[in-house]
Amino acid sequence: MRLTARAGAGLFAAAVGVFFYAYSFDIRQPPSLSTLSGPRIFPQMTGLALAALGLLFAVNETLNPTAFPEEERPGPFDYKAFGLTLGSLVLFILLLPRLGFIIAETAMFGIVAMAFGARRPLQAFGVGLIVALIVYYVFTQWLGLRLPVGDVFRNEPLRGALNFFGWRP
Amino acid sequence: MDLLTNLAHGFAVVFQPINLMWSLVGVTLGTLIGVLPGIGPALTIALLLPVTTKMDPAAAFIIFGGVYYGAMYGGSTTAILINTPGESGSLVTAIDGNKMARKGRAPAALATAAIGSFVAGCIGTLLLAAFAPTMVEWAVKISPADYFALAILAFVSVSCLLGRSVLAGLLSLLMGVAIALVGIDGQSGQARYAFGEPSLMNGIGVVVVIVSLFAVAEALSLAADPKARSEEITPLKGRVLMTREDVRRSWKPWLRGAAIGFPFGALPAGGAEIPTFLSYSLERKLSDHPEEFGEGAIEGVAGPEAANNAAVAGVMAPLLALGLPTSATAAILLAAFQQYGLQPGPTLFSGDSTLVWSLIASLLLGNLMLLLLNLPMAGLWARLLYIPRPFLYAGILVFATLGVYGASRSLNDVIFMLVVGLMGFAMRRLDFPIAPMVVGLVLGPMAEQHFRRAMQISQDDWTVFFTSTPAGPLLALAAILAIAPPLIRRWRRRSAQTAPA
Repeated sequence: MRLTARAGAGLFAAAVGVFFYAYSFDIRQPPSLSTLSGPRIFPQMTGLALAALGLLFAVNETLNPTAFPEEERPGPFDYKAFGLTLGSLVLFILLLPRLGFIIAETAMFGIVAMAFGARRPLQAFGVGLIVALIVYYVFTQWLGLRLPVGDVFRNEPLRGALNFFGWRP
Repeated sequence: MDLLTNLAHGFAVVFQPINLMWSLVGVTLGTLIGVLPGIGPALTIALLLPVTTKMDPAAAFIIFGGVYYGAMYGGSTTAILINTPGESGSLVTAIDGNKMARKGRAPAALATAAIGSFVAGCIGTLLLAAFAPTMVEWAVKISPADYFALAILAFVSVSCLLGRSVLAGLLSLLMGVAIALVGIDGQSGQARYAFGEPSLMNGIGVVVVIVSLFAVAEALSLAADPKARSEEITPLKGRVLMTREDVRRSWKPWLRGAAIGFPFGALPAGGAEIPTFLSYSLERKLSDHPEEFGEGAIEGVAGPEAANNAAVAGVMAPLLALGLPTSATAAILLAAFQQYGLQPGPTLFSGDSTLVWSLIASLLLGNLMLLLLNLPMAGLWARLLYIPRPFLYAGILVFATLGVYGASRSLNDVIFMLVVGLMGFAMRRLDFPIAPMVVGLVLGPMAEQHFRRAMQISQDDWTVFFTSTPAGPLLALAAILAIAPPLIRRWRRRSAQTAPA
């Protein structure tokens, strides 16, 4: 009998339930509404249900672990590809406001493509740049969506230099 | 004939040239994206939501109708040619469809799937048009307490019918309900679980959660699991046609599939998986060649594929008439309606009846377009399967970030996306079903609203849920659904132990 990952997930759900129940008392109860029709009741029911079922699930999993059938069980964990994909998303969040949509998407595309086994980095980032450019122009010019240009390009000397080359970000 | 006048009104809208074009755009986009492995109808619609924010609702719904059906057609192509069903409804199609493809019978498998989808889609949509108004008549009479009971029944059935464990499904559902609690409470105006953070006040968007769960979590789990990345594409040779013998063996399964699929989809306890499994086992029983099942029987593709499409049409009935989503895709469609300030349910039928009937008409038209698009051009769609996987998954993440950021122009939403995506990754890795969470997220706030309204009406007498009909019986049914499967499993295990076969 040992704590499986699934049982751990049950405990996590129970903890989330306790959290929702505990912080339900921070919600202001307007005097015009009764307890049962106020804003607290449903969060409390949800929290209690999560806590109870999460605990029940954890106990159940510890006593009779349910597992994937043999053929559906995931293979060995590929930490490198997983880390690169996760990292590319974090990098995207960091780059988007600073360097703008096109560069942030190009970087993410290239890294994810490499993580999924693209062999030539130049090709991966090149395809990423083309995709980012097409998406950027279609969405900003045709569909009227505003996408960030990047704070770096708001810097006056740089903007002047880019304008000199005909690019007006 | 009310039905015919209503449908005629719908077709009058749909046959406007601009709307015909939107319908074509919808079915093309739906097939295009649905063919790509790893993208099902729910994600397709979630990704297209931000694109349509500036369109008028009728055009947007004509597109969504087309995308929904198109993604189903595309999904069956993927299931047959590479055995990776994009959504649970085509799980069964993949069994015999892929076996047929490996034996060089891919064209016949694709044809029976496409024509079966067409036949069942038409029957299902016509039944939807016929039954939805009756459902609306019933819906206006039910009280908030009854509605709450219906929502609980939908909650329980979504959690129980998918996945291997009822408890895991319920936990997934409750997590969705909990996420939806964050933000301003619409009924009292009080902030809940926002902790003074302005970005939490507006709540966590449905699109953000769906894109995170279906795109980000999928990309992360494929990255972590090299085994899941290996796949084999069966080449498609020749024109997609059926022989006389294929048609003879297919037409009855199509009709039976449609007959099984629609009622299951239309029940508030529906979904598209059960009817596909039922249709498969029924066809095996009725077939003259039961030994071919599992080895590439055409009936095993024709029946379940028809059942799947009829169920999808059926799911639209509780969605449109009651505002009750019973699948992940229905939940995202509901979110799409809400984006336009429309609340599906009886009031939609009386207030925006033209919109509803043009949606239904566009589903019928889209079905026909899909048949014409899919039979001659199947080879073209199949070629999409050869997009190099590194570029495909990188592209999915580009569109995911674009969809999430573009909807609100908020970087916080991209951060939520990462957090929810990691949670979805853990759920996939640990075999928790995803669909209940999406249904909980969308249906949770509606259940709460009706619960509190029922309490106001009954003046805090909570026994009203058990004493009034149909609320009481519906809750009893929900309880049976939740408790029965584990008991039956235990009983089976025990009888298997006492009498070893």
